[in-house]
Amino acid sequence: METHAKKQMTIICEVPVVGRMTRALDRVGVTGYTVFNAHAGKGSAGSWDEDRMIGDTGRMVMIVSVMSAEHAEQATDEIYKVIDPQMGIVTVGDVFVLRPERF
Amino acid sequence: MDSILQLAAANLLSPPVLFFILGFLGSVAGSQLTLPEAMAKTLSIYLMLAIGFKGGVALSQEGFTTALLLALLAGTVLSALIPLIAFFILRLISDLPRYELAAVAAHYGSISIVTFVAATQAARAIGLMPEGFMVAVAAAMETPAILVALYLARSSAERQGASEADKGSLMHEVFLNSSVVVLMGAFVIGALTGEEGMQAVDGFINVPFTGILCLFLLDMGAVAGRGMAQARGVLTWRLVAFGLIMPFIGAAVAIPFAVVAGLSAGGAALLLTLSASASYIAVPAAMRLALPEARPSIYLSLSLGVTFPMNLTIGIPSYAAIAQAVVGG
Repeated sequence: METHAKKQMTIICEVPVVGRMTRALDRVGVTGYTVFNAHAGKGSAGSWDEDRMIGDTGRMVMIVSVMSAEHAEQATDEIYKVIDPQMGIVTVGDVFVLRPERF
Repeated sequence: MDSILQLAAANLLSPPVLFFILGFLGSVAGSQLTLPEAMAKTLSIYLMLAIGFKGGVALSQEGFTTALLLALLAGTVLSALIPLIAFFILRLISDLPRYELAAVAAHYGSISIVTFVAATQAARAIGLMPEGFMVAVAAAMETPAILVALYLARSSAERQGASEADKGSLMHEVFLNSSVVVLMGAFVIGALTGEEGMQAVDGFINVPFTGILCLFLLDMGAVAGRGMAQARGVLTWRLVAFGLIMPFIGAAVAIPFAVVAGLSAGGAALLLTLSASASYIAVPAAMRLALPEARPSIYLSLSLGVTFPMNLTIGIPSYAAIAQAVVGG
């Protein structure tokens, strides 16, 4: 079956900034994204576990979005503005999709 | 003095506070005690709903009075004033950067709803009947402190080029955070349905309340214990002293406001407690958006690991005794 090259952006960020991240993706015009709850982890600010926290501060989520190469370039700039002062990581990788018209 | 000691003893030996201490000590000793996040959230929503509803029912019996408006005004002014005092004190005793001072100050101007719930329960246990509208005062005190702190920090959101939509969303999220929505919503429903409404939900709102508060405070004790463990590594002794003394300064500032608003001893005890308490849910989330350079390890450790346990054990009975001494009753 034929596959088509696209980019996948993965953002791991704090819950309070999710709205800013998704609005940045909306501004670029990506067609969709999915937000996953992250249960526990460890980063430069130490380890964390959602059951051992109170409130949204320090709680992390992962946002995954598949998009065209053009969108990925614009989204990288927009997302960088948001995540620069915040905790979190952003990666962009190559993926292959079956239905290219969706992205 | 005797009355403060009696109140402190009664408060310390009440089941909710003892469960809090159990969670706290267990956590400090290294126990892995914790409630699943979804359950802790459910319990917290239940407590907001119950306390809001009870306040609304009380308001339906008291009616709208000038005291209500004065108390709302007092709460709003206190929430804006206390961060200024906290900021000034922090500048004198620490060398934290301006944005971090502002972030800590915001926590002390805003309130802890859990401390408010515990204080309401403690006040009722010693025969003080706070005005029902104190629930609305609590809600009014959540946000002004955040606005003042952003002004004190000279709006770092602008420095980072945050969009208008982002700033709008910050205020939207602060005004409509789930505890305020449930608390005020239940307050309005309680006020609308009155005593009849209370009879319909009595078995849900009143009977299990103290038991659920015990369970919730057991978890909060564990969270606070972990907060204190974290505080050991990041807070200087001066900051810890600030976390212990600032609540009493906030409560002292609130005394004339309670007198002018004409609050009862119970209402005054709650206004003092609200002014003394420090937020650890709504404000930290707002600060992550508005002042992301400020370290949560400083402000969360201080409000959750130092001020919250102090308020729950020693603070609340002290504020109640001061309120009784000043207002009478």
